[in-house]
Amino acid sequence: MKTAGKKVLIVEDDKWFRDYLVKVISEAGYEVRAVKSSYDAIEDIDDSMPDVIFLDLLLPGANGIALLNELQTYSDTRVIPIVLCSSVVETVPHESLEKYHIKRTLDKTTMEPADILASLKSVL
Amino acid sequence: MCAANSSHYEGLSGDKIGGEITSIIAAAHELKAPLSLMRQLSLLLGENSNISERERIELTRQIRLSSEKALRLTSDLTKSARLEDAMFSLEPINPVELCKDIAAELKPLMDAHGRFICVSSRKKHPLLLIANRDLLRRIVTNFTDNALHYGNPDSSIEIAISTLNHGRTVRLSVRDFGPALKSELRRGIKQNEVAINRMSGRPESSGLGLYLAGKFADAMNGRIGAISHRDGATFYVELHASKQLSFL
Repeated sequence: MKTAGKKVLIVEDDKWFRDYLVKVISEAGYEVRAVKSSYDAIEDIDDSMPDVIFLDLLLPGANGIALLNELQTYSDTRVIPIVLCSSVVETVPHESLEKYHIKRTLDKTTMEPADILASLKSVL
Repeated sequence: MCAANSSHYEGLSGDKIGGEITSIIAAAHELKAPLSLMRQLSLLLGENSNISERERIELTRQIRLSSEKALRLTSDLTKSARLEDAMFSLEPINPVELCKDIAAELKPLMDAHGRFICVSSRKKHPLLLIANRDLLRRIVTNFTDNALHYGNPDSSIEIAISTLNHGRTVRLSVRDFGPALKSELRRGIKQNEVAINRMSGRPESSGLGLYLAGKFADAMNGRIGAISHRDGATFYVELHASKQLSFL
């Protein structure tokens, strides 16, 4: 799987965590954009459709679930694969994974940089 | 074995045990964010060979500041657990000087996030309030941490000191510019029910910080509150003004 040209949208409110994800993912050759909120994500998706969304769950304002619901509203966005990256990932019910097109989950407290890249490779 | 367990919980009501477990869960959740970040940044430092010297310094600074945030929370928790037993003194305090001290102490953290903090007072003459210096510092620092996290990037944080009730009450408020608060959070604070896990207005937080701030304010015969703005929020603590100046 070639990573070059594949667009990854990171949605993460913590600036330092966001910068960290951008560094790890962009160094692997992906085209990365990063936003801090669900609102910004929707605007960004309107501008350019990503190949995968790397999503935190707990966001200020509209949270990650609100974004997932919004994405399910439109035929072109509902098929975008989601990698859910959160410290409360264990609280997401199993049935929600399929419903929201969540292809991989990553636990922020235990993941390694290699896990981040492996999750992206597996969904693209 | 059973006897030992019974003995351990002796004197604790079900509500109290439940409340303590909720507090522990909230504390664990609240600590996850800085600890997870520190772990990831450490991994990046240790395993990534494409780190420049400038990046290394910046990552090290982020790890240090994140660890300080986690330590502040653990310190607040310890303090909160011992509030009932501990003897702490209330003294006249100049809130302007205290807030300037806090702003100076948090400046490295603000700089690291590209944020600006300012302190203002509407009174020309020095104000004094009655408080415990350590507890008051923890409350204002907590509000400021909160503002840092929820404020928009590049937005400022404003600490203001004002008086109410004809000078009998002093209010220290911390204003941020970010998402507005949900009404249930404001109601919870107003009813003195800053419930852990129910602070959904700002979901990254379990509400533990506000819960602790409320406990610290109670211990000083004060109260905390929140005001929602279209473009952010103000959290404040109100305490009794010192009458010391009236004798001068």
